[in-house]
Amino acid sequence: MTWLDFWTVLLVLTLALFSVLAVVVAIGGFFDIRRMLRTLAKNAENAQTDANPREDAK
Amino acid sequence: MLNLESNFTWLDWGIVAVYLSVTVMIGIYVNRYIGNMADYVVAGRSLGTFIAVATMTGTELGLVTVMYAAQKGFTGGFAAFHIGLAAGVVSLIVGLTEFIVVPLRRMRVMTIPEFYGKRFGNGVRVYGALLLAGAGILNMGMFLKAGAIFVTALTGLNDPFYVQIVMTVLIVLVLVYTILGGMVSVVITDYIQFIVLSFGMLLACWFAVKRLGWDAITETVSSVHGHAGFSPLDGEGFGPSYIVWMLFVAGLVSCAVWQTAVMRSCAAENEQVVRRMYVWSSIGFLVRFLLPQFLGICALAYFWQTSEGRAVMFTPEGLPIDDAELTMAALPLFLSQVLPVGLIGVIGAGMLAAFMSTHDSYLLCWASVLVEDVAGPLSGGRLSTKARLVLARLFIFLIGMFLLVWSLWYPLEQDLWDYMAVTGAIYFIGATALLVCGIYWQRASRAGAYLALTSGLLAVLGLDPIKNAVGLDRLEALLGFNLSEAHVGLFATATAMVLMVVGSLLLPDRCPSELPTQETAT
Repeated sequence: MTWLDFWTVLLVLTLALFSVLAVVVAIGGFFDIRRMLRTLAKNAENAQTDANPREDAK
Repeated sequence: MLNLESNFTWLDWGIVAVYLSVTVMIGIYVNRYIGNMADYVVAGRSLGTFIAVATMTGTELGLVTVMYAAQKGFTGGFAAFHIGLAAGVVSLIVGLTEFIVVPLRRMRVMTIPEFYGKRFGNGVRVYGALLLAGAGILNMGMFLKAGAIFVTALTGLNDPFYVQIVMTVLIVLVLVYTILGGMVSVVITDYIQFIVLSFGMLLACWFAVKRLGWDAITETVSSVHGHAGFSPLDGEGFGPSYIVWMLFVAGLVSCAVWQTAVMRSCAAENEQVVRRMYVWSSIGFLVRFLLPQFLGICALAYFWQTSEGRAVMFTPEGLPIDDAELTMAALPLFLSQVLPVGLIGVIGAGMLAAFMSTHDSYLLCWASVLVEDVAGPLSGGRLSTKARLVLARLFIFLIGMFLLVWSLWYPLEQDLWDYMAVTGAIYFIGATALLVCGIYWQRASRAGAYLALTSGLLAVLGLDPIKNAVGLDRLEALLGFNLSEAHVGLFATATAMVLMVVGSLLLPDRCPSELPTQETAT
């Protein structure tokens, strides 16, 4: 196997793997972002409740 | 510079304008989710696997990466692929073995100097943070220039004055939404950029091969670079010492020691996400070098085949011209010729978003290091959350101003990638010794840490202007061979490890702290 053969195989494999990864991450990432924003919003809500316990009690 | 008619039209400018406006609006919108410093710096440690992979790849596959990797493909041929291979393989090994990154996540640190503090005390933390931030800011010193060269070459704005205008506009845009949104906006824009750039790059590769033909590409590399264009072991090109240097820099450092990558593992939900992120991101680490390098090789073939391109880009002997700014412009010039209207706008916008995403990650990173690891410890931990956020935003602004001045002033005399490896080495040479020994060797001491961090400064000898100023050429004449960045970097790395071990053995700590590998998993 020459260096050119080796780099050609590596390039083709990389292109194929990356195409699959791009599709999977694009779909999965969308749901992850939704979850992350919900978590952060919840954290912010909790922090506000902790900061104003009296208002919360009312 | 070549005066080529670009395919970039008003439609493409429209695409870029819409894309960038949406990105900035997202940065402003997500400001409402920032409640404390952990939200701002590591997105509240709430990243899932897919978004972690997207943001890791998004940050690392930026416009600057594309520019320096393409330049390496242009000046080194297929042999440059060894850099991507090293990056991918080492990142996979890190993911499988949990080397460095999982213990760091276990310690719940936000920055590497915070680890120094927990392991070696506050003095090492502050000293290490100053070295890290200094090296990191210098490392991104050429980002603006690379971004501006890309924009002007892609769009056909040939007047050098436009480069300065574009640099100023870019830094203002980046500062606005990084200051406002922090890591949450970084994560979301990384995700958008990941999608646009991934598919854009794949399409660009297809257009390039379709236009040039595979045989013409390989024949050009053979004509211009000879055997060294294919074999990285050939001393006429990269050579064995450069490969070892790349295994260290593009491999281990990029994924496990460089602060921006480590921040992603620290932002992950749990240790399992860290492992998965590194295993999956190994493809991203491979791609970030390989695809742009391939496009750089295509640019080489394109200009070799056109008479005007050959006259400007090559010496009469047929070698790529020794002008870093011109070889950096080869990829955008090539893309401006082969991509169709519309797609060139999408790729241009994706690249600019990539530029902004890399910039915001780095700005956020260095500013948070200065706040958390310098200002925080020096104030005795008395800084309020509000004060820390204000200070982080102030540092981001000041770093942005420095970058603008540095980009205009510093004469880039070597490949951009080599400049970045050397400036980054000021930090990562010492950091590697501290991380490896600090995590895995109980006897690593504070004295050893100080010595190892200081020896990282030796790396500046790899910068061409410094090398010329201190007269390293006389040493080269004495040794009988050229002292490359790789030689200097490897020497400094070995020195740091030796000093860490010797310093620790001779001057041990009275009360050694517990190793993070011994702590309970969270």
